[in-house]
Amino acid sequence: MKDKKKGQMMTFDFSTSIILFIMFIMIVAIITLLNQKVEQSAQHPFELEYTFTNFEKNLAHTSETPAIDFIHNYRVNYDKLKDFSSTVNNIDKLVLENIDSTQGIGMFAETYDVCMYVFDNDGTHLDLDGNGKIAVGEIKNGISCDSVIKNKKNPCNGYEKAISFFKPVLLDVGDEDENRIVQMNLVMCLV
Amino acid sequence: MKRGQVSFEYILLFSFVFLVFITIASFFVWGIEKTDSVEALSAKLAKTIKVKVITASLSEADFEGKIIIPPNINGHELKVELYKDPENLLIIKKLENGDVLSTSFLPVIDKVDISKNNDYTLIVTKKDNKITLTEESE
Repeated sequence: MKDKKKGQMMTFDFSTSIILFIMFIMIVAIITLLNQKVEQSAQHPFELEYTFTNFEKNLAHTSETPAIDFIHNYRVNYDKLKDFSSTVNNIDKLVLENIDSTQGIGMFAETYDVCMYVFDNDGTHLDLDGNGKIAVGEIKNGISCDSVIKNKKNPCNGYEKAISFFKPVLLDVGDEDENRIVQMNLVMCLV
Repeated sequence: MKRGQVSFEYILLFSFVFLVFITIASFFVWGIEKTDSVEALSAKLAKTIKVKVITASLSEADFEGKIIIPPNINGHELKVELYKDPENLLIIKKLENGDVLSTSFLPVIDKVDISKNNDYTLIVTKKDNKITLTEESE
């Protein structure tokens, strides 16, 4: 009788341990799988990888006067960049959509608000228009990216998701000694 | 109860619980694969088509690219619908019931000339700054 009780108790302990172990494994597996789902939903559309090229192509095909095609093959013309920065406020359509003679990348300007800024080789913001403007673009309520970034705030605060792309480019200021590599940034905030 | 009998019960119990676990786990994994595979593969196909059209769109020179549209995915026959401007849309459906598997907006497409639902080679062409989608003639 005593042996039987001992055996029952050991069996109970053993089965309880195994069930708890299995429950633990299942919980870990479910959490892992759920996390994978969350990671997938956090992904950005792959089309965003083409935004720099699309932006460059749209700039090259605009009919703006003076010409604002400031970037071509990793080379930024500073004079044209100044013209661009002083005449253009919202760049969502130029970055994400297409203009008359281009085909775009199948995205819509309404989905993202875009800011553009350039870091000089000393880590400071490049003066984009020659009058102290450090960013081009508009975010929610028509607020300029320039004012937000000057206040050292994140332009994508209050947005669902954000992504930033950068591209090293040669800044052509018209003087070989002054030309330098700078970092052009595009920040996109999902509306 | 003999010591040997207890050990035998442990083995039986462990085997039973392990069997139950394997069964549940396999159903769980199978269920996830089953729901993911058709849609995931059609999304990959949609991405392949879109990448090719974007490449044509961003190309400064004339361009031609080919994509093989399979007859089915995991036994489900496909219906690949492509719409030119102003829709510029790609929809991949199941042929048998019209369930939408994947949708994607495309760059501006000037002409679509495709009669088949599936099992053909899609040709993406850019010429004179116009993008055309056609099926390869046999």
